[in-house]
Amino acid sequence: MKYALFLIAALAACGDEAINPVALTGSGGSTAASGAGGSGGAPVVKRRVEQRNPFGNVAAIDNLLWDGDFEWRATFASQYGWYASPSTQFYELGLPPLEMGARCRSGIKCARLDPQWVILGLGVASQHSLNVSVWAKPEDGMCNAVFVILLSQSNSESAVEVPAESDAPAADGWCHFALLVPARDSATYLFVQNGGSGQLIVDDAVITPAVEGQDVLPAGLRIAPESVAAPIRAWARAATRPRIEPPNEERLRFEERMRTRKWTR
Amino acid sequence: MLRVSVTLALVLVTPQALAGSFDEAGDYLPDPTAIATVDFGSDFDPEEDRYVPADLDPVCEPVSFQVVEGTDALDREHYLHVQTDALAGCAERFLVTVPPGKSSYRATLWVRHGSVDAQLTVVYPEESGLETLAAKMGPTGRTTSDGWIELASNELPVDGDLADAVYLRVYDLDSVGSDIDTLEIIPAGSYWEAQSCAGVTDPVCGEAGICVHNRCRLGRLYVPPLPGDDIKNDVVDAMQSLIQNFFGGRKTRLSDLPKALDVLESIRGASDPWTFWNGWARSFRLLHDWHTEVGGPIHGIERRARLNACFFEGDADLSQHAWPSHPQYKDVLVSHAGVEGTQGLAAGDRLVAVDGKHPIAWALSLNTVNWDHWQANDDGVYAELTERMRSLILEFATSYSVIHCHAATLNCDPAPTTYKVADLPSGTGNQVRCDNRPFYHLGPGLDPSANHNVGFQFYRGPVIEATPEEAIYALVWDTLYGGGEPSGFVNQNLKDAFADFKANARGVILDHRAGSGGTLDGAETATELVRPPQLVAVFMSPIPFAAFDGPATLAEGVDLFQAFKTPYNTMTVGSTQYDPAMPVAVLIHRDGSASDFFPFGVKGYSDKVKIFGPAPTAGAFSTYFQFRYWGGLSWRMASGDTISFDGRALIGNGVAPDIVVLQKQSDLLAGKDTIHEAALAWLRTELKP
Repeated sequence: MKYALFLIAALAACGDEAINPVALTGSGGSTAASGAGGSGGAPVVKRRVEQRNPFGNVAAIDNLLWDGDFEWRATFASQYGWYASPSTQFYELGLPPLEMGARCRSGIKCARLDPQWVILGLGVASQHSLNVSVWAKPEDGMCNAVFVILLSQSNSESAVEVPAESDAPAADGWCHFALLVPARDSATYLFVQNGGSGQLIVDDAVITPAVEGQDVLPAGLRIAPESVAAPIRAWARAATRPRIEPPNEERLRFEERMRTRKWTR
Repeated sequence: MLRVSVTLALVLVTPQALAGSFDEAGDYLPDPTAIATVDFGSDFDPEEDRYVPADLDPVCEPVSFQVVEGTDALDREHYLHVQTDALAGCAERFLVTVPPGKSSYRATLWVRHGSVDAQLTVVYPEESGLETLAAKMGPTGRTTSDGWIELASNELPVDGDLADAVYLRVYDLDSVGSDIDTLEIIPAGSYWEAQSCAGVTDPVCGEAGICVHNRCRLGRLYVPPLPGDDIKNDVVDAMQSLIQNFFGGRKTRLSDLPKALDVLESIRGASDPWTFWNGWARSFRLLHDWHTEVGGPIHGIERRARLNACFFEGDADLSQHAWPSHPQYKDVLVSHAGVEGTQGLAAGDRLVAVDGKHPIAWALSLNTVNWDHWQANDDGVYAELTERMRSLILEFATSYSVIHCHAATLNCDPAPTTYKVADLPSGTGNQVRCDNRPFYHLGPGLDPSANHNVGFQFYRGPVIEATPEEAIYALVWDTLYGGGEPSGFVNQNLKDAFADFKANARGVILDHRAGSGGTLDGAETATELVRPPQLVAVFMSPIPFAAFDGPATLAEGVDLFQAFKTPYNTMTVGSTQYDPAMPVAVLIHRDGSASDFFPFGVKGYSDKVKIFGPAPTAGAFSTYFQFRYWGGLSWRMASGDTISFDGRALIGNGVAPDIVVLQKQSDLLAGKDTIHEAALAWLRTELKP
């Protein structure tokens, strides 16, 4: 909680200093079955229909996150591209809670975080500066209650706060966090914390190498304190040490049931 | 507005995935061509329309759905809330009525919240000779602002005259339940009838089919819909980028990754779902990595027969006259057999050919179709393929040839006997575990000789062949899952064993012949008996830099070792409490991951430690990540490498035995475990004073 409060203050001071926001790439066309609605006897429109790419934002082909769009989220896996925990105590290495459908920004799947929940996306470094972009939709409408940090495996590389482009969400409820950060020399992690009072949807996280001519770094990068970054790194390291886990009890039960039952029935 | 919706949908959705549409108010209009529509409204009878298989587990009998009345239904009336206990294997099934005659149908279904596994299934009476078929469902990409997602299946052939039932099966995969609405069955495609086939090379199954377990299988039923032409290239780009950026270490990236990328390139032109998804799966198989695999429903087709015996690589010294060894591949012997369903196989028999090829060459040739492919990273290691040989034969072979040998006379037949897989009697009972241990040596009741299921257990004690004065002890175990707990089950078992050995033994056999890996702390602990502490490797795993090919020279490797040497990503072996006088023989056979690290950590340190086995370990020196798509598809991919203190990139370079020992056929017949015997003989020359 102390951390959350710290970052609220930090990000509030940030103002609209977002620099080099990553260009938004759509997730595919969308449209609605809605009419203008409401006047002249037009029916009340109950829902819109959209076409999503079920593979997510595949336009970001050079995404340095394993599964920035959550479309490949596993069901039972112990080693997936994101980890989640109910708090910054990092007691758990769970899967991010799944949200699906139109509440997501792109594709079909995204992550849903209750208050204080944190997630960590695993990625790689590049020889270039990194364009960092992630979208979050806070139920309480406060972009600055969402904390986004880009950090690295190495202690010697600073963790950088990724600011929201504005304090309030856009009309569609989404907050965009974006920043150009210096090149990294070790594995890259994207940390998101829901410091708000309502649920938070997280989706379409993209880290791409900066393109030629884009390597102009913003001044005044906000460095996350080591007291914040160190436990996150430790969590990430614990998550990524080489291992083959025996299936947990639930998975063993499930697989045994599947084995002994005709799968087609 | 309806027209707008449909027009734009055409841009992105696979054409066959289109179904119903929405009116101006956003209400759903079922596809007028549908032959059955289930909207869970007044026509739905929860009792009559629920399908309960005759062999349903009683635990799954309670109804786990409810009809919900609500304006948020697609048609503003009703939908179903399903909350099955998927972990208990429970699903719900809902019948649909199809017209008589042979036809083919695609199903669409809308789901909301939660996560489901859905499929359209047709079952036939046994006397029809037709097998149950099911088509898995995946998302079309159509979603609604109130949370509904459209799923669709590929075309399922149905004989409406013979079918016992056609139904939707739904597993709810999370704890909160899922809503489903408006199941539609739409005529699509043409009827296809499965027929018997004689192995994967039998052309009778045609381009759309694949022969598995002597039955043609329609490939598209086991995979999600084909990505539409508008997104297919982008999807392939993303798949290529993913493996290019994240996969592997030096050896696998340089040697194997290009082949996988080429296969992915080839599926851009795929015009049917099976070609696309099987090509995608094949690209993973070509990555040639112990940790890397793709799973899918095709992998789960029930076997028809049993081959209740285990194969491993050895030296067929008694049957060279009948069939000389292959110049490249080792001989394949029966290690041990179960009790029933062995098809006449017994320890010491030799598998000389499958479909006319050396068994390993044949198994390698299956990588175009075998979703259960499992191969070591090290190019010359085939223990994994050999261990799975019996399953591969049952799934894909037409025939196999065995030279039978006889324990009573200690000789072998002069020529092989060839068996047709299709002629094997039906039988789906359990099969004995394969652990590359033809015999155990701890005495009756002290080992799992009845079923060879070492699994996650530890067995230790004096070996029965040694005298009390020799005091040679053994530890038999296959897991290194320490889980980061120094006093956890695995680490404590290892520590207890080593304390016992230091107190009581004059020589030790560490029998790890089916080492299934675990965690690094387990591998580190396993080295504590034999050497003092030393930092021996750093993990650049998962891969730290996009598309990093690893060190090109040993000098570069040493630089990386120094640069990445931190307390959290290193392997430190040994213990200050090690026993320098204790001779230790480590037995390996099919070992990977943490079970690579363990022998790596003991090799070459001292003349008091020797590794015995037929071939190197897998060379799987990395970690991995796991992912899942719809339609039952999942995949696991290795990432990164390990750099040794002397600069070597280890992946793909298994730990070679110090003493290469192949199990002899003659020993198998005589009841001797050649590798164990070799270890025992060496220990006797080195016994601790």
